[in-house]
Amino acid sequence: MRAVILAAVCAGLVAACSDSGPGPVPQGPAKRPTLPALEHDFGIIPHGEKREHEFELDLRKLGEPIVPLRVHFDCSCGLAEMKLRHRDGRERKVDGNPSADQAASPDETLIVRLVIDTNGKEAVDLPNTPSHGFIVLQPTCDLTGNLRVNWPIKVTFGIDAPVVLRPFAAFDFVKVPLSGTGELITELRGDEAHPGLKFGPVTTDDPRVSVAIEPADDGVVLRARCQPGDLGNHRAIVSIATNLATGYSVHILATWKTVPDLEATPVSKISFLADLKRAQNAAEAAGQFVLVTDHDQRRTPEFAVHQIVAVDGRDLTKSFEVEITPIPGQERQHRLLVRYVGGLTEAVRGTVVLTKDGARGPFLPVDLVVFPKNS
Amino acid sequence: MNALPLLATAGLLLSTLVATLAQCGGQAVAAIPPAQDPPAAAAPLPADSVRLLVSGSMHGRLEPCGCASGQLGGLARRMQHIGEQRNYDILLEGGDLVDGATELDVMKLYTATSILFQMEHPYDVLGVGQKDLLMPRAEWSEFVGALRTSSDSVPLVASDLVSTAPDWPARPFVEKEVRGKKVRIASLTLSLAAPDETLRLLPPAEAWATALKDADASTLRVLMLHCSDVTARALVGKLKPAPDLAVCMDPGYIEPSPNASLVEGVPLLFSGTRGRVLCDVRLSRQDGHPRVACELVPLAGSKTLPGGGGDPNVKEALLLHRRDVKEKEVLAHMMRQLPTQNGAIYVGSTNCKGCHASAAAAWEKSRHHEAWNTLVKAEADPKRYGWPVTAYPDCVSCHVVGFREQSGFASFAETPDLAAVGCERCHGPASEHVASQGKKQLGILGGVQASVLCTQCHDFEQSPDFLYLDKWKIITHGCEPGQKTKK
Repeated sequence: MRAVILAAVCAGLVAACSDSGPGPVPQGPAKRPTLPALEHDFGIIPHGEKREHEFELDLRKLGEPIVPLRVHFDCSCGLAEMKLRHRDGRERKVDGNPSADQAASPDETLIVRLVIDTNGKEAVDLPNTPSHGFIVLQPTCDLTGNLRVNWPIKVTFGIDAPVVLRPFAAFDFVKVPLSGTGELITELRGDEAHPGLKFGPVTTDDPRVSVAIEPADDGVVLRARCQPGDLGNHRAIVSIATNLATGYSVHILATWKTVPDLEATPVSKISFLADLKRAQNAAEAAGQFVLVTDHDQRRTPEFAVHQIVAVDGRDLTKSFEVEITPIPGQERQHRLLVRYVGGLTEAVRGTVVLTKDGARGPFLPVDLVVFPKNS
Repeated sequence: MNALPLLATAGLLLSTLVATLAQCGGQAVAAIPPAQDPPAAAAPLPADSVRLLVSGSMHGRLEPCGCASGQLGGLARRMQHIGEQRNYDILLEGGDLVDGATELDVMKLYTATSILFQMEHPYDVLGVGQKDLLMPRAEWSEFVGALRTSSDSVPLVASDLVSTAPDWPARPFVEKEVRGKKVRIASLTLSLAAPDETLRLLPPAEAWATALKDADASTLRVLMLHCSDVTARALVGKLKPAPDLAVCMDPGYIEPSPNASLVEGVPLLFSGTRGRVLCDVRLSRQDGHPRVACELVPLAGSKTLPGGGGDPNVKEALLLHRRDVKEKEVLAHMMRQLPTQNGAIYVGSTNCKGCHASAAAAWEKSRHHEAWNTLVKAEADPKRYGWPVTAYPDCVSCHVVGFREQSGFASFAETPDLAAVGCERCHGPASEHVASQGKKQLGILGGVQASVLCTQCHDFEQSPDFLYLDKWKIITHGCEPGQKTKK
């Protein structure tokens, strides 16, 4: 049946090739047939297991050679690959090149192999869910790619994890300042089919992340702690063994970013264009801000301006007005807004230096870059 | 299969697990395919190969829109990944950061360039795509060119574009030294999306040769191409000296391929689109021949942490962008700017009901009828977005009738009858149809196929399970008894 449908589609494509004749190749998207999808239902896959399926497309009956170019899955739900299998069993890869030697020969079958591997997925149930993909086919007579057809694929699968993780199946500590630690809690228990499941021991691949297991009503509470480590983004895997006979372990991804205690975000720089002949009005300066945060809970959250200085050491205090205002709901964060008030004749690069405690600091430098703009 | 030293260790299992856990976006997760050489190259890559992270054609997707679970991509996840890895030698973004030249696109460009070039892990090179050239030159130059002479300039490359404009921000190539090896990167835009008197397009072979003119023979040569795969395959073999790697930004390749094609000895990769899946590439040269291995990096979040994962500072930048769009009333500025496709005026679904009662009844039961409310509810749910979805043009575009078109949706207060995916979203503005008492028939807007029209919103990312033949059954409706339809 599939071969018949494919034959009909490709017959249309071949006709389109023929119609183009010796003249200019038709440009623009061709009217493409809406094809019935190739379908497969993997059913519910136990978490930690892998499933494979091969679609076989018999291309032998096609008059015009067709090049299978690539296969794509929209949901990134599995690994899809294509190959051409000769009837003697030899196989060759499809390399995506629409050249005649990549077309399926009359002795070859197109194999589309799908692999759903739940090993790397979160231990979270997934109801049976359709996922969409397509195979890209091109007749060899099509020199422009305009006659390509996307043959839809519909794959359905779900996942059954033996455990329930609530509320989180991943630990995102977000920001961990150098002076602090991160802590998150989530609950872990066996699902309805696995009541009374036992958990432990816990291992992590990064010593900065530790997880304590604490007993709870019908499972355990996982208390995850994160030490900051060096500045920047980090990730770790936490593995929790179970007493399931299969040797199943629960894997939880932990991510965080270690940040300095004094931080200007999202970029530690305020740069803008200004007419240097006059002071900016409030509306012009409205977007010239960064967020400044003191993450160290031992201090009060306020900042003060220590100096505004150019890279050549000039004092720029008289050229800029600086506002530091608290942000409602963000106890440790302020908005640092800079407005040009005049006095410059050329572009300037400098720094607004904030301080926590006068000349003793600590200090938070924020780059300041102003370019001249004609009003 | 190539056995990269990095991956062929016991760390393979763990790194795969880490990567795949990271990509658990809800619906599904791909097992990371092993790195592979092009078919012709079988020996392992040398350990001192250069590591590049390749992407392109972001098309304004600063982060996943969030209207389907399991969406990949976004700058926050990308920069988190880069920060975690810590050892990419070259960060390469192909170009076409945004998709047009609207006020929103300008703001997106500013946000994207800030994130990619001003934060902790600045990109090494940005190509110029055809869509980039649509951007108002002053705005473009302001964001990517104003810092050109400073140490933190945006490394913008367009090897085949010669400009007479004094503020032209691009250069013919970027070169970076990596552990004693030079890597030179050029970019061919290859065509102009619109005529531009200030720009001249050099022939690609000449542009490439010029960009490589004074490069050492040992320099690794990387080429970015803004064209279809057909053009790329025809071109790369003709270039002298031969590139060691060509990266094509063909928008038809939604995702990059884990395998490079070998085109006359030149490894050809596709960057994918929208920054959903990145390409982690190892590049070297052995015995005079380029060697490439790539591994896909799908950028996914956690099903149980909506909006979780990703670099928190980038998320702050994106949140500021969203709020800025609302404060500046960008949506209102963008509405009603374009003519309708058939020249008629939108009349609203209520006007259709009188003659098309059964079709209207079918529509009222559908989720299309609730499209605007879906946005409103999503905005009100703090667990979902946390930013003003109903003020963000990209989101609104798929939840109203006549987005950006004259007489189309203006705001919920002004045009409540167009705040849904109503009749005219598919059938087109109906004023002439109504005035002619149905004699002037409506069809599918713009004459496109229904399946194509639907995928303007129900695309691979926003509706990953969308299949036209399945979904049409849900909203099926036809003419009233006695009415005829145009075939």
